[in-house]
Amino acid sequence: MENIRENVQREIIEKIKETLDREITIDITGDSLLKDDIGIDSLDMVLMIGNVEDIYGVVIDEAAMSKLETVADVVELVMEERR
Amino acid sequence: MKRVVITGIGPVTSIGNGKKEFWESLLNKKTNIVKVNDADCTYKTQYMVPCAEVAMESFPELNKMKNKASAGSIMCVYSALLAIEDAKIIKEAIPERCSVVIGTGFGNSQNAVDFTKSVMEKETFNRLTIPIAMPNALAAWISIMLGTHGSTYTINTACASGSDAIGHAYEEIAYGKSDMCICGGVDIVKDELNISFKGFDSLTVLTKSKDGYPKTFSEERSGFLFNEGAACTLVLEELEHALNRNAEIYAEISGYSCNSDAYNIVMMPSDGKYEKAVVKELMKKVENIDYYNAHGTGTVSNDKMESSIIQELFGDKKNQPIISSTKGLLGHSIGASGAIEAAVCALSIKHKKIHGNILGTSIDNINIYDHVISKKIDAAISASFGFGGHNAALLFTRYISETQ
Repeated sequence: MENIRENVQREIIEKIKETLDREITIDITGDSLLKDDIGIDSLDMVLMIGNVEDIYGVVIDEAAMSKLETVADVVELVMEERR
Repeated sequence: MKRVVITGIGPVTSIGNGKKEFWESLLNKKTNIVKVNDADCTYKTQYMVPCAEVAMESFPELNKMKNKASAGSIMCVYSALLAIEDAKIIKEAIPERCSVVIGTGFGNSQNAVDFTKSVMEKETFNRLTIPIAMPNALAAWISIMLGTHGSTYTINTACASGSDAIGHAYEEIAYGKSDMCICGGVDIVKDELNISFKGFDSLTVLTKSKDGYPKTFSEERSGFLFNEGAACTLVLEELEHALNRNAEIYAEISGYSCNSDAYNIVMMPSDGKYEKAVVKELMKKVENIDYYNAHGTGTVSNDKMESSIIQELFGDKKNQPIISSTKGLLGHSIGASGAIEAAVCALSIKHKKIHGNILGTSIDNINIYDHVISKKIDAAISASFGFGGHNAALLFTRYISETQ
C-alpha cells in the first residue's frame, strides 16, 4: 500500500511540474502547500486535477478540489477515489 | 466633452515591436514577406507576412498566462505592457476608472484547430477550452494583468475592429466615463492547417503578385497581403489626467465616426456611399486634413472605390491630403490593422513625417508617394472598412494646449 502511495505521489508531482510548465525553485514533497509553496493558482488547479483524473480514471468534484491544500491531500484523494 | 489624448503606443508587428523599432522600420519601408509554407501549396497567392513574435523575456509576468490563454491574448497583453511602458505609467498608478476595449476579427484561429483535434483525435481534452477561446478573454486578460476596473470588452467588426475599439475608447473618455483607456486590436490568423489563409485565398481577395508586394493604389494591385498576426494597443487619457502626470502627448483624438453599408457580407458597394460618409463626417470638425491613412488594402475593388471617394471628398491630387497605405508594407493584420494605423497617424503627427509606399503605376490623380514626406500635420484621418459592411474612421489632431 505504501509503495502504491509513493508511486502515486511521484506521478502527481510529475504532473504538477508538467502542468505548470515553468521553473519551480523548490523541491516538491508531500507536505508542499499547493498555493503558497508551489504557486498553483485556480486555473493551474483545474488543469492539474484534469490531468490527474485522466491518469487514474477518477472524477474529482469541485467541492473536494477546493479543500486541497497540500500535495499529500491530492494523493489521499486519488487513493480514496480509486478504492 | 472631455478632450482625449494618446500617451502610449505598443505595436507588435513583424517589422518591429515597440514604438521606436516599428516607426523606424516603417520610415525605412522595411517589409517582412515570406513564401507560403505549405507543402501542398495550391493557393492563388504565394506570399504572406509571418506572425509577429512576443518577447516573453521582456515581461516575465507573461509566463503566468502560458497554457491558460491563447497566443492572441498573450500578444494582446504584451502589446498593452509595451503601451503602458511607453506611456511611462506603472501598473499601480493606473486610475480606477481605466477601461479596456480590444478589437479582433478572429482572436486566435489556432484555438479552433486545437479544440477540434482534441475531440476528433481522442487526445486529452483541454479543460480550459472555454476561457481560452472566449473572445472577451483578449480584453479581460489585459484587465486582469494590469488590474483595471473600468468597462472591459472585445468588439468585432472584422477589418474595422481596431479602429472601432479606439473609437469606443475615445467615447468612453470623451463622455466622462473613464479617465484612461487601453485600447487597440489584435489578430493571430496563423494555424497549423492554414484555415484562415485558405479562407481568404478562396475568396480571391489576396494578392497574386509575383514579388509579394501588394502595390496598393497601383494599377498592378491584385489583392491584399495576408498578415499572420499582429497587435497594437494605445493608451488614451483624458487630457487633464495626462497633463497632471506630465505625460508625453503624441496627438489628440478629435472624432470618431462609424456606420454600416447594409449591403453584402464581403463586398463593398462600388459607389462607397457609406465609406465616404464616415470620412466626410470627420472632415466637418477641422478646416483641413493633411494626412489620410487609407484602408488601402490593395484589392481591386477597395482601392478603386477608396480612390474615387478621396477624389470626391478632397478634389484633385493637388488638393488632397498626403495619402499612405500602411497595409502596402505591413500586410493586412485584420483586427489589429486599424489600431496599427491609428498608431501610425499619432506618430506621423508627432514626428511630422509620413511613411512612403511600395507602388507600381499609381492610380491616376491620387496624392501618394514612394518616399517619406516631411510635413507638419495638424489633422489626420484613418479609415477602416470591414467585411460585413462595417465602416469606421478616426480623426487625429496635433495637440495644442488651451494656453497656446
